[in-house]
Amino acid sequence: MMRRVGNSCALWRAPARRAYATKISDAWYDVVISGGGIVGATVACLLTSQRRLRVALFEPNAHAFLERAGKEDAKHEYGEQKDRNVSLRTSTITVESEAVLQSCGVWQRIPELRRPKVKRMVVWDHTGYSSAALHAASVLNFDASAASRTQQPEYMASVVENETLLSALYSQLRDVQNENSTSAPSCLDIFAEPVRDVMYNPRGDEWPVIQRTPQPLTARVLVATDGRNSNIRKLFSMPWFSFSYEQRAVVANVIVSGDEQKQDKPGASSISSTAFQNFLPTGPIALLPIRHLASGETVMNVVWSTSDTEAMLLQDCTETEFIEELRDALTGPHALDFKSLAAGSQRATFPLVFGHAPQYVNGRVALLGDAAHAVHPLAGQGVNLGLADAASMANRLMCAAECGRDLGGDGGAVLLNYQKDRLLKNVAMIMSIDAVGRIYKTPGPVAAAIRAMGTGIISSAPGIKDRIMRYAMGA
Amino acid sequence: MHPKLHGGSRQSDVEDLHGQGEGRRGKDKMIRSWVAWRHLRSLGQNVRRCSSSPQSPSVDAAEILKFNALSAKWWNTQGHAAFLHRMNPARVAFIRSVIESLLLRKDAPLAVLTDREEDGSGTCLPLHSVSVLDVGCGGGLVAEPLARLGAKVTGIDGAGDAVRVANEHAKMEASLRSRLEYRHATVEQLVQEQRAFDVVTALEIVEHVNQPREFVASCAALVSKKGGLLVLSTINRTPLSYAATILGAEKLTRIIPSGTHDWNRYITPGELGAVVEGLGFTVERVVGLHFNPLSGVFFLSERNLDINYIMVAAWHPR
Repeated sequence: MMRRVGNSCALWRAPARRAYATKISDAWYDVVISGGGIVGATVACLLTSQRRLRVALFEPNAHAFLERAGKEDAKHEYGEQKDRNVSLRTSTITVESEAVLQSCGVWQRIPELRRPKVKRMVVWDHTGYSSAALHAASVLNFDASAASRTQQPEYMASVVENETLLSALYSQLRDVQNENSTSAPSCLDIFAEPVRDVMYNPRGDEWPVIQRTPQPLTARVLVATDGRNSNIRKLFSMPWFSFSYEQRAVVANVIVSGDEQKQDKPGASSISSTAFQNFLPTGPIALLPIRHLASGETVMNVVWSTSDTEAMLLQDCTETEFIEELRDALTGPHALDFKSLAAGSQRATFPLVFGHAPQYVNGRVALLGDAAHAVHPLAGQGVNLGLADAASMANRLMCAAECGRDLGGDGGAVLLNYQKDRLLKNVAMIMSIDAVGRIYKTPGPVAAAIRAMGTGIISSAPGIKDRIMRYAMGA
Repeated sequence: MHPKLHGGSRQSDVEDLHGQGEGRRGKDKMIRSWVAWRHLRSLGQNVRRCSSSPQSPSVDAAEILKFNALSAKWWNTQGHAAFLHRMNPARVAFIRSVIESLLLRKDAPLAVLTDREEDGSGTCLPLHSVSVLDVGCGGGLVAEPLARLGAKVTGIDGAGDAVRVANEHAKMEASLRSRLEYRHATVEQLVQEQRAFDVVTALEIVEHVNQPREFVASCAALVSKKGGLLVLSTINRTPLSYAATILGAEKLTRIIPSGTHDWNRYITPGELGAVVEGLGFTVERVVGLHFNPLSGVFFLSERNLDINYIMVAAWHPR
């Protein structure tokens, strides 16, 4: 069955053999990436790191990203550290994902101040069923330095603004492009447009043809990193299983100053390197350090998952009301003093959905990142799963290229290896995130007892805790 | 795809092949491609009787129809060529590594991505400027990857339709056009034409030719350069190879059609090595190629040569 979209009928009517002839075009790529978000841009960086594959990246906002990458570079040079303007969308980059970004020269482009490290994670739940103060056992303290075993880094993750990460990715891509313009044809082309129209029969040997106004492009492999509402996934009718949590996440940046004296552990990391997470009956609320200010305060990014109605209230209430609500929501083992919202930062909400594609590969088309799996943000793992996908895909493609294989050919053997690498791991992670979310959301004393028991067991058994933490770190 | 259109093109294929068949008659008596041989065998007693009189036009028609049915399957990873597709990454990687280490003298270990010099076309291809002849290229399963790695590849096959399939498949890749050429020819023809290549490969074919000694000699005559390589792969004559290739692959699992292989035609590395050394070559490497049924992947082993093996010999004229 020939799958085609759009309005060009010429190819559809042509006999098979003639269609071949039309498709032979000099505009060919080894890999065409649709969607240049964090995951898509990372795939592009990884694939061009050896300068061997011809890659095209389609991203409607590419011009803006490239421009900002230039500005960002200038900003770093002036050492503008006291910038209180922090963007709302942040990502928690685990140590493993960091290695991926490091391998393609991106991580080094982000100044350390822009990627504060999380050395400790404090997780507790406050459901209101235990009327007394919090049990010590129901507070989980994950301290990276305490659990430092063999070659474990002294931190669990870094928090970075999505904008900063994208700028670093695009400044790397820009450098790859510039470097190429001196030699003959480039190994990377960036198109500031979406992939609109693809003609491809996943069962045939032919390459996907990406329709474009001056000249159609052909690609050995079409990588879809165009987000949870992936257009490519829809074009090829790849199945998608999803449901809505009927929740929204409220994001905001707040300025926090911690009371260092009240810390339960002397010598432990200060709040500026601690991530907090409280499981409320309405959903988890997480607090991540994003920027250290010269005044000693910390700008923290709040991701508050809650019911639709409460989210609307939190979005619309005044700043002082919001701070008050936040104080209530994060009553816990730490005295956190919420000063105000960070300058210039509004609040935003987005709906929480769960989604998973049971099949990541269809012929020469592969889904990566959110196009393949949309997860609850409670563990901050969405971007890390996507980066692991990117690393696996790039690794498989580059190894196959070393043997001269047709990257999308052999019945999709190379791409299916990527699926084999990632599918089970992603499902396991998504399911465990979902399960944690559910057990903390379930009302009633039984669930509360399970939670208390669970956290108690986890806290007292160092082996389990260690394992969970390494899992959270992406290892 | 529209069924009518598809049917139409099939019809014309058959006519094309009749035309080619006329010209081919009598050319490839000595060397039969693996496919041709295999399918004549698998056609059964009836056709086998016919095959003794190749002048009969009915045999040609049967061959052509059979070839035509098969031609689409050369690139089908699930069909008869499934094992060859599985084998391909390992053997291409090996061939690349021997060309790099023995011919180009690059000390690049396999599977390690290293920056290579630009070849001027924007991509730095590892086998740039190496000329390769693939004897018995079939659908181009090895020729294409080698061309993708930068080599200038000529593929020849005694079966005209295999060449046509190879050409058709290569058309899909614009980048291969300048580096890949297929011909319906025999090694003898190329020897007569006094062609010369840096590397000559004859993979999974030696056990299917009638006179392997003469066949290998012809292949060797096409290696021009001092230090040029002859890459031969075939199956060892051991009880294990009988169990694996004939009992296992043909009789029990029937992945390969019954009658594909004849155990008596298998050649031991010792015999092949003696032939090759008699031609002024030095055996450089011999590795076994083994199938892991659990992972479905072929892997190389230096120690175990009991079933499939690849022999690499370099020409060192005195």
